Amino acid sequence: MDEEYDVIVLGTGLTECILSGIMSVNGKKVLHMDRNPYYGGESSSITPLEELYKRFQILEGPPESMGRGRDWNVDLIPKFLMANGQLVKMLLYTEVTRYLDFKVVEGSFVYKGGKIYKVPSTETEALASNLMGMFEKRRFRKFLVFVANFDENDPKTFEGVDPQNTSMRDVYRKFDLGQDVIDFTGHALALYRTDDYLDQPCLETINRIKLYSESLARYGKSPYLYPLYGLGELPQGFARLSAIYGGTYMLNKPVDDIIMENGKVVGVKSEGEVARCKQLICDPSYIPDRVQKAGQVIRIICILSHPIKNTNDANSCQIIIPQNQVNRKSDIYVCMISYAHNVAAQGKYIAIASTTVETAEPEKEVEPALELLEPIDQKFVAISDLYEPIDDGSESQVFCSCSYDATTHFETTCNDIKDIYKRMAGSAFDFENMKRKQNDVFGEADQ
Amino acid sequence: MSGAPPSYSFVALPPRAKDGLVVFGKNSARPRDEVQEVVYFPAVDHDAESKVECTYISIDQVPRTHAIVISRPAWLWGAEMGANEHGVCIANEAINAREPAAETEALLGMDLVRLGLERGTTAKEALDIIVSLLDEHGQGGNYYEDAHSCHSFQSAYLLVDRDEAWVLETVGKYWAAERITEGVRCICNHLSLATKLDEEHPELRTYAQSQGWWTGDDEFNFAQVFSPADDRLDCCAGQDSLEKQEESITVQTMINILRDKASGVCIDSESFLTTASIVSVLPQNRSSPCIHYFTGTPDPSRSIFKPFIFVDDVKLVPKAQSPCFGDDDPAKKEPRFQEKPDRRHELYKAHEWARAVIESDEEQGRTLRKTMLELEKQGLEAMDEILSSPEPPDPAEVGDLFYDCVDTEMKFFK
Repeated sequence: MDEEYDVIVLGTGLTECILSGIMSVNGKKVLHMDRNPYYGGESSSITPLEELYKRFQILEGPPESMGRGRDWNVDLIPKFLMANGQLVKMLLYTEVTRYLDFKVVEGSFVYKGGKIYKVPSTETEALASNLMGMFEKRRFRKFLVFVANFDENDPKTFEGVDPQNTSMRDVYRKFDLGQDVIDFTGHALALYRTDDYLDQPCLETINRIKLYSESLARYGKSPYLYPLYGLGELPQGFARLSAIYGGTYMLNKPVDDIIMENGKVVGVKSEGEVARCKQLICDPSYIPDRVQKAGQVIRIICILSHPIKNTNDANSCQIIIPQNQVNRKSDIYVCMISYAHNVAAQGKYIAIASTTVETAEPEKEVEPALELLEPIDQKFVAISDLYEPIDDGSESQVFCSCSYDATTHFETTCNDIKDIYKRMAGSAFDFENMKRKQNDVFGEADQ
Repeated sequence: MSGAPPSYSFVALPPRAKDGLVVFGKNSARPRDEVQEVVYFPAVDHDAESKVECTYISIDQVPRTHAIVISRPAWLWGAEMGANEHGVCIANEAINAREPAAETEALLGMDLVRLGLERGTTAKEALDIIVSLLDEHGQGGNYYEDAHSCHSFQSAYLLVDRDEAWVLETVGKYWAAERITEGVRCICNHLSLATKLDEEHPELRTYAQSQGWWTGDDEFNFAQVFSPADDRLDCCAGQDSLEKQEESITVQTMINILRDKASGVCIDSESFLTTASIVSVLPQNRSSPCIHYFTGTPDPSRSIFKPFIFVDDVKLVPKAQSPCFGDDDPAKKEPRFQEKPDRRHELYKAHEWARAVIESDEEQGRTLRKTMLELEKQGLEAMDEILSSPEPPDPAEVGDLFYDCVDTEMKFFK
């Protein structure tokens, strides 16, 4: 403290840790602080289990049937990594994977007509699936071939579609896809939470479907990865990266004030001392007066003693409930992981149902998901506000991240990181920016 | 005289068959190692005065032949069963009669099936064509690809269209026929026509009298008169199976009957195997298409039925067609069948793997069988939707239907 830094980062959520790592790798002097004694903030994994009960104010604590509390690492934010997604790219470029182990999620399922169907992961699985009728499947296959061949830089692949003007609705119409297939494509492959994308230009949706297919092709089974010991390992991995490039970490450090001069940030006061900086990165909880509410997310953490029915006894899976299957605007998601990932005691499963809140009775909204999970040993209900920054930081040099949304992957988080980077650095984010440099202090340079 | 192969051909007509649909089916029993292929031939115009090379003989070609899809032993020209673009289906049965079948090469029963399909626009018209050709060219020749013995048989036919069915039974150039407009009927490797004859060869009865088989005094009973002395006239496992169905007959019912080994309809014996099967559904409502399901592989209890619909641009299915040896084919050279080439098509070979799995690995076999039946069910459901739809299907959507189904099936066979 009482020093001058290029960047001060407040909060050790995943977004903040990744940005901290990027800034350090690029030669900035970074101070990273968190008021909590642990990494992760909202994106932490809670351990031991007793802490989870305490956090949700369940006073009696966990029953003996839950096993050793220390065997549990419960994520507060349920998400998986897309195998070909941006977060995996960041992990690979930064070599943070050196410290982490991942497992492929065993399956993805989609809810239709009150039942769940596996999202096919192989050609024969797709051919055998009764998620679609025979003719729908044949049309859908033609559509997927079109998407796979589509190259926005090669008009020969367009087949009469204009990537910047043709709506996705019109692309579906071109291939004569029915409503069920459209729901499946938009929600289980392109992973949209609402149907707003239908009237947008099709390029983004095509790229999302490509991302899904490429992620799926990476490991088979499903397009998702999950880290052993829980998502809390991720921010720690990036924090370690920042540290080896000279970043300074201070946990359990309260932030008394953010000091502004002439509308520009100049430092942070903590316990009577001031650290000065040119730029500030933080999560919304550190600057409540500079963010606005943008909705709410409900997340219900359920502890089970059984795999979810009709998932072929999967140890890990995702279930997507497309919004119009349950007359809503946003999809409901279930992420399930288990003892196989070292996040629960033997024989226990953690399933987290989440969605964007749309009514005054959010718990009622997720009931279709909870019905799939019964019997549930224990439920923890969290309703979180979603925040987004009021200003873009161009004057204040305060760059606030967005809250984690209800999606079950990190693509929106990575988009937020790239956007913040661009505003801070004045140039578009390039994954090369994350590559390790020759000058890391421990001499771990690649030769 | 060897036993005639135990094939079975079936028809069910509304209201005994459900929803105004005529349902036709056949199990083709043939020598165990014989490969059947499924082949589509488009409609063709032919030069005046041209000839067509049947299995053994050459006959006059007609100006135009209809589009047909047939299942046939890969070595011969004709067909065991098939359909044409006008909704006519024909199947034949090899039969032993009192009079030995001619060994002199002429038209085979299978040749006449194909010729009837190529030339007839209704079942009756096809029948008339067959009996006319029979009169002109006779029937005879080896039914099997066998260099050492000549296996010849008389022939019976089941001819079906959207309105009616005909049973035609032939002995040499003599024949009798019965028209069927309701209920169910099965023909097998025995003569079945009795006293109800709607058409017959003009000299049938005088011929029977001249042979001393009929006195002219009692009622003429075709099967009684022409069957071998030791034949059990009332025996037909298929007819029993068909008649005891309590529900209305559907495509699935027909498939289940064809798969039934306990009744003997599905043959898997030392000498014979059901080497291919067909089920056709012919809507009486002409705005709906006829749909024809072929296995293309042996033993319907281990095969799946795949749909075919006639449209103008049907995609050929090379994987269900056997290799072609042209003029070098031992079946075309004399003396016949001096060699036996490998006639297995890609689907047949892939299916051999599946049959081996089903026989040897109980768990994997059961899973594979279940998956394949689920695939078949999806096909049947899609066809039901077509039959229920007020509009005809988009030709572009069904032209590659059979091709796609064969391709899909093979993906499940390593």
